Amino acid sequence: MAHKVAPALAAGDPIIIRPASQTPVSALKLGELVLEAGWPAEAISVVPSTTQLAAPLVEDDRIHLLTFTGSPAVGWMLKGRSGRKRVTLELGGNAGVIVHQDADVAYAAERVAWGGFSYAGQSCISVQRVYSHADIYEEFVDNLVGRVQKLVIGDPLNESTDVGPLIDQGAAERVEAWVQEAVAGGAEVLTGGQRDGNLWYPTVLASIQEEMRVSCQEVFGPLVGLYRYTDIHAAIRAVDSSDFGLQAGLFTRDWSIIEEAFQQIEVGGLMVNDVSTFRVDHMPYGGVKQSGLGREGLRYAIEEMTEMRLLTIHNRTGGS
Amino acid sequence: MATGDRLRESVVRKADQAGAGDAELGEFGALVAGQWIKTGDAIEVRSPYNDALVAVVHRAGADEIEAAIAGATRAFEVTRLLPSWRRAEILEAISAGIKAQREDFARTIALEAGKPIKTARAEVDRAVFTFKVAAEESKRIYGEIVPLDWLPGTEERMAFVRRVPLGPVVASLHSISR
Repeated sequence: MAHKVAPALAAGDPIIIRPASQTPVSALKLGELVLEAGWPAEAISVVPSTTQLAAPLVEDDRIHLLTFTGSPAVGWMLKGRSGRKRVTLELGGNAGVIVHQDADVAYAAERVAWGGFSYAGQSCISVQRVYSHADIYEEFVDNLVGRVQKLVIGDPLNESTDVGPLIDQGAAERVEAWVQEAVAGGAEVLTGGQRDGNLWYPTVLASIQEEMRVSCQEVFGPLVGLYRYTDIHAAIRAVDSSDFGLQAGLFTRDWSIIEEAFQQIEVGGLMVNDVSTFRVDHMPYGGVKQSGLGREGLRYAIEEMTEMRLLTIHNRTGGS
Repeated sequence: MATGDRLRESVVRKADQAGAGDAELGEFGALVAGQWIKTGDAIEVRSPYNDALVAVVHRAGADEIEAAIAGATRAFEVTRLLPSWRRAEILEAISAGIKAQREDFARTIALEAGKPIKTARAEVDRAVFTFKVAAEESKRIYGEIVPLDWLPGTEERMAFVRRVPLGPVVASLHSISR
């Protein structure tokens, strides 16, 4: 939210925020602060509304840019109806992370335990697929599972909670169905794999296949699937084989592997020695392929929210 | 833990007028071109954790959406002329405002989004930083001087590129449930 509002104000553009129907209050409170700070009153709106009633926000040409975060199906559909305006789309991912044989394995496990399960995996750049080199696979998996089992699940208001509920029952049931499909296909649940209401227990799956939904679609839940590799080039291709392309992670010290991965993997950003989930608001951030269009990150979003205007001067020296 | 009690429907529920008093965060109108409007089409915001009533929020209807767009269009004539220092000042004030209400914002996020309070605080700190960086970047929207003298006879021409505000922007966040 802040990363969409702040650049608009910096750029000198009025903004209308249409928050997600389940989480409007933080947007409304931010709107109040924007007003109090002295931003021109008519230049800030926060309008919770149904998708149907919000259609003019997408279709009306008085709006010059639509920046949308949500699912690919809705995002590309809205782009199709957006008329003349610019469109920025942030549509999610099924991020891959490679842990190579020369990685700091404990650090990689620590970061995957954070990046795969933070906010119950409900982030566009949540870690979903981890490719570990065969030589360090067991060490990595033991370390990761140990950390995941220590995550505290429960009441978001509790200071010790690491993983809270999914946003609604539909989400929890969807994750459950995908895990059941994976298990039926031969996947192994190393930890988790259970639901309690809207809580889904942080889950690590092994022996997964790329066709399983937990691998090839965006799970948006606290789940990480493991792959083992011996050929780094194949692992790089596998990370790249996704329909999505937001961010990827790579743990290695080998510069030539970094270069190959950076060349090959079609993503908005490659995080070396960290997980895909790393983000700071001043870096360029965005997706390719199904993951979207355009870039966020303060300076880059300001570019999207401004346009070039050319002035030429013909310094004529006419006759006297 | 009783699962039946805590299952929450994905359907947005309309609010019952009497219930707003029980909502921990209270009742909110829609913010329409700077005006708070209680439209009467109110929905419940419920905790994803335990289905507790978190807030009652009035939704915008067709009239409010039009008012928002029309207001933004008029306001652009003002915002496009705001000098850098004024935009920076406003953004700094927003950053400071969020910081001053850090725990309140964090609790709001924890309640409505079900985000663990520790993570919610980090998100609020991130917002404080984002608005601060925006204040800095608002003063650095640079343009270019472009040499045009690439062809004989163009020596007398000069070109300047300025970056100008685009116009009203919509930020739309769809349901985070995929």
